[in-house]
Amino acid sequence: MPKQDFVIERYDPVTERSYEQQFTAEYEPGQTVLDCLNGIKWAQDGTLSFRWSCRHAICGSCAMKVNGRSMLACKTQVTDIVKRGDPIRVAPMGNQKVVKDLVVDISNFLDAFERAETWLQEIPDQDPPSREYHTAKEEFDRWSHTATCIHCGACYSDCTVVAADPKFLGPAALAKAYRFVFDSRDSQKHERLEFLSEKHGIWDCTRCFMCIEACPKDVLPMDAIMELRTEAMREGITNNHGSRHSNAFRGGVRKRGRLDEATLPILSAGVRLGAIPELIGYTPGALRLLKSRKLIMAAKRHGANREGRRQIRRIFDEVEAEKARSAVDAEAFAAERSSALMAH
Amino acid sequence: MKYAFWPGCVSRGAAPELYTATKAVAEHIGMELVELEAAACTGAGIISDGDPYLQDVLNARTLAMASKLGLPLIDICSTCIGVHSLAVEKLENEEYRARINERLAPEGLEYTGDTKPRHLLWALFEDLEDDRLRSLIKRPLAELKLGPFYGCYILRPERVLGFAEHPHRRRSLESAIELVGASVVTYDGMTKCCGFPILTTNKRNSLAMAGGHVGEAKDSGADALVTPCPLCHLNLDAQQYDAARVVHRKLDLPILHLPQLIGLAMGIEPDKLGLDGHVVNTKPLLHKAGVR
Amino acid sequence: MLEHGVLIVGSGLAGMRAALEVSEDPDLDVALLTKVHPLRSHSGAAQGGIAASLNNSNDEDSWELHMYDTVKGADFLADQDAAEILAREAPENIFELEHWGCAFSRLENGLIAQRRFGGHTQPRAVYAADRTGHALLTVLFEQLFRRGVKVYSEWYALDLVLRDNVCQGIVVYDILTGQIDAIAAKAVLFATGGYGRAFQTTTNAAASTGDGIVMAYRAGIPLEDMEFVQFHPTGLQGSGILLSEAARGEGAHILNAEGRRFMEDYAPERMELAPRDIVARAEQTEIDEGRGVTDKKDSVFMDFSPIGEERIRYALPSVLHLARDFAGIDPLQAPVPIQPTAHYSMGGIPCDVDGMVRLKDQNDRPIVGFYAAGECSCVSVHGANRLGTNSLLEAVVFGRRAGRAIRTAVPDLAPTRIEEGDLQRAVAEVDGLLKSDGPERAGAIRQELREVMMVDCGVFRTRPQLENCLRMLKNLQERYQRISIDDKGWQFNTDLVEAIELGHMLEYAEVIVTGALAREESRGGHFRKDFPTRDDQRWHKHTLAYRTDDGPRLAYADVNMQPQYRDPFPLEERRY
Repeated sequence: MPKQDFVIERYDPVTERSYEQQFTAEYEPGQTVLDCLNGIKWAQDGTLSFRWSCRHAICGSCAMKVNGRSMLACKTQVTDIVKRGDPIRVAPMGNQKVVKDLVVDISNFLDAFERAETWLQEIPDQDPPSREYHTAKEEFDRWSHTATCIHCGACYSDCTVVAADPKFLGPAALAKAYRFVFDSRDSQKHERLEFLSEKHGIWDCTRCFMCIEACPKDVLPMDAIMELRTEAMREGITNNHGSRHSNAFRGGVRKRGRLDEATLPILSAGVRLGAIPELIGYTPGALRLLKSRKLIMAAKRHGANREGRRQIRRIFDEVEAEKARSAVDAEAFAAERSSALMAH
Repeated sequence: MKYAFWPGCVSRGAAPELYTATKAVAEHIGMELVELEAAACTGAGIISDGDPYLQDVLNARTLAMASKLGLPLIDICSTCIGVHSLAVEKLENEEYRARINERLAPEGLEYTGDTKPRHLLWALFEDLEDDRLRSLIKRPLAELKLGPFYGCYILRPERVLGFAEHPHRRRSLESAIELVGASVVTYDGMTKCCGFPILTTNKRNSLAMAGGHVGEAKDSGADALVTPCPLCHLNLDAQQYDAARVVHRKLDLPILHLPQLIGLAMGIEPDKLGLDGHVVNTKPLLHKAGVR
Repeated sequence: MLEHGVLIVGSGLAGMRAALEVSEDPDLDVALLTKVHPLRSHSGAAQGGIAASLNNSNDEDSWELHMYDTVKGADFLADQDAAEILAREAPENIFELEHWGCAFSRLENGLIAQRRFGGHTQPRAVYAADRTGHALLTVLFEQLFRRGVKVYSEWYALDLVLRDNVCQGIVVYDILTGQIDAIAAKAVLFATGGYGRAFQTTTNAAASTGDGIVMAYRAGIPLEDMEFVQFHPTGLQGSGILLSEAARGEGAHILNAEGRRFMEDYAPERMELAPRDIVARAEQTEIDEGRGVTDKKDSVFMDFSPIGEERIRYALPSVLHLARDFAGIDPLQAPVPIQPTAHYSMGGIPCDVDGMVRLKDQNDRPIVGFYAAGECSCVSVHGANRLGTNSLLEAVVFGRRAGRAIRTAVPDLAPTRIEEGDLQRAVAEVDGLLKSDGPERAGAIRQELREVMMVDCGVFRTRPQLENCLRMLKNLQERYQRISIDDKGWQFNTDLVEAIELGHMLEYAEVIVTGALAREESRGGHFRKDFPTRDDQRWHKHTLAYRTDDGPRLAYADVNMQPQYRDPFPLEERRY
């Protein structure tokens, strides 16, 4: 049987010490990182601690970092990730407190679901039908992929925003909220979108795609977050930085075909162009910006050429005049979703 | 080597040094760039927040313009290549493509699906003979230890970026650093988000991300970072002093645009590469590299 | 010492459903205790569906047909009063789950979709693609969360405390801190799952180690019908990971090395959609007679090509992923090698249709305040063989009924108490393991146990095999006394928990084998090659195994033939 070295990041809760330990495990082709961890635990070192249960990517217990990325140990075949001679590096999930070895405290991750109230909220004072609610197949197909979440936390572990802001709801809870926003059995669509548009919600996502890559199932969390943004704006929930930014950006492109530098974040971070004296006093960073000529360049308006601008404006007009825009948007999202799921 | 060239908004705005450096390098290696002057911003995933369909129309238009010229489309921005590549994928859906082509028809454009956009970073390795590419390196930067900083959209989602057919793209930036003779410094944040997309919505988080990555690279021994994304450059360079305050530490790490790095190694003079236009001073770095 | 009015042990479908039902009465103080987080429970691994005669895909179904299929599938060992309730109450349970937001797949007309399943004569499997258990588990957890039910997550139950046939509470071990404590409760419900981990090839999660069953057994309660273990015919070769029966429901074929649909020799009418015991035996026969596939000739092929790519992607996405990720085979391109795999535990803690645990002896004495539901229980609705989609149904129907019964009973129950002495056995067990320094490794014993159970107590059994198995088990039990564990720490000691679980496995395995050795007939999941036919004269009865120091003592109980709303289905030969 082939042998493989593992470097495992361990943590002893008694001494509160983190350390790396190397093990060598035998494996047969087809075996997984989890098989190797169990082989190590059962034959070499019973103190090695990690969670696992179902062995086939449905219980969500065994998410951990393997070679730097979060994944399910049970779903990761050794032969798929082994690089000649290199040990496989195994570490606990990120963005969560380590309890022991590869076991982390998932309570912050789970709290986000509670904060987002990710359970169905029926229409108040109305009895449910005697049989099932009718749910159009198109509606079901719109959200059913997000219901595949196994709450493993891989997305949360790799989320670049959670790393900067532990209060960020995170990809999994937002994707689950998406499902209830688009589930016609739920009565709280607008209220949910309002809550999700607040700080630590949909507008704090950086669109880095980490969650989509980390997800071992079909959830596509980031795509769900983007669709929530569109829906929130459609519902008129625009009194927030995110939708103002989107609208300002869009307005600039409409006008000049290019990003209007006045809306560039270095300028729109609470500072208006033309308020340069104010800017100078703003931060040491802004002062250096000025010296680098970047602001001046930004202020120098560029854009698409004249014909380009005419056509771009035509497109904006036509798209805005198109009837049933939300249906077209749904089509746009469906196109992306089906390609993403196909590739998954 | 002739390309339909989409410079992106930032290289024509707040990061003009990228445009300058790109032109200089292209000229040096004989890449002919036909600039798409009538093209529109990709929307950067921001127009799509409110209007995904509109963003797709704008990108289909740019792709169709390249196609009309019969040229491959080249981008110099991770965000642009990412958004263009995602549009290509969505436009594989025929019904959706037909709907979008209706918007392009008045201009005499049609997107047929035959344009595969590429980034300058990939084109260097895929369109230039390896020997020729290496022969152009006249001034190896052996003294420098450089950290790659990719920018999300040139790495993710993998499925739209042709990684399956071009596995080298996964570590193309490390390849570029090796090409110029510098050593590669790896660090956790090199494939993560710079924070730029939320700079206006959540400045503290955004700068914490940028500052975290820069600090980590510095701790790993990097003399500078190199990025194929001008938006990352804005957050890592232009915002670096504000980011330093958020992460409570001194940073002072120069951030190079990809063509600046390549240009330097090819012997192009620093002032022709816009290296004096950065917020973080690049002179000590140039000194260390033995340039001037 | 902790105290709750009602304590539910186990957080799968049955446990959560019961907890929700009890929580309807805000005065009752219900808590849920589980060794894995509720969302990690093994109910989530159920794939194909949950049965109910909704008639959404046709109009010929009825609860009576469902009941008949269940009784026949059970090889007539099911208690007919229980099978009747299962079938009658199925639709209302499905609608309730749907109203709570369960993500059931839909027909074009917006109604819940239904598909065919093995042993069911009508398309009555309600499903959520091929992750039905996961969809149900998720929705129950959402409701539990919403109602703020107290959850002791990653707490491990060690002992059931009974006094004069009255339940007092349980002894528990907090995995995070390593503290042993007791929780007193007027009513305790065990919903602790099945016991498939004693077999080498199994679909079961690591958690399915029969803990609750052994706790009840050690407390003096007999175990019912433990020899009936279901081997699922479509486990992935090697790992035994489940490929849903939904694959066959959607039209997949099973082929031997000659490329022939051999089910025509065994169940000419129902073919691949015969009940699981029959298909598993057919496969094992083909394999044993040299018509197996792959180099090892230890499996047969499941061929997905009759279904079509689009339908596979839509209706069987998990099956597609499982075959790719765990066998490296793309079902869209090639057939997948499958083999029988231990899947479901028909036996368990004897209880009535309201979940109340009963000794089922001559006096049919109840254990006051002690209830069981789900796979750990034996009501019995599945008799000698469970039909696919009836397990999720059992968990919700009888979880709900048990919850209701508890809600009614608890206000009249006397306060309970736990004494220092009640903790002794558990404390001694944990201390003993922490101080252990013997030469044996738990991992090696577990491995030998699982191998011998698979080989000698598997799809086919004979007296010599079972006798050998029993000898081996005695030996392993002795060696278990001499194990040592590596981890001597208190916090999150999975080494310790796994060793305790192994003790449970060694205990119940003996009950399985003893019951199998005694039962000289073949019925449902229990097949004796030396007694290959069903013998209703001698064996139309439930096995009850009592714990004694010399091993299990067997007794027997009648099968209930008294449904409430119709005549019982008479015993008949089982053909498909």
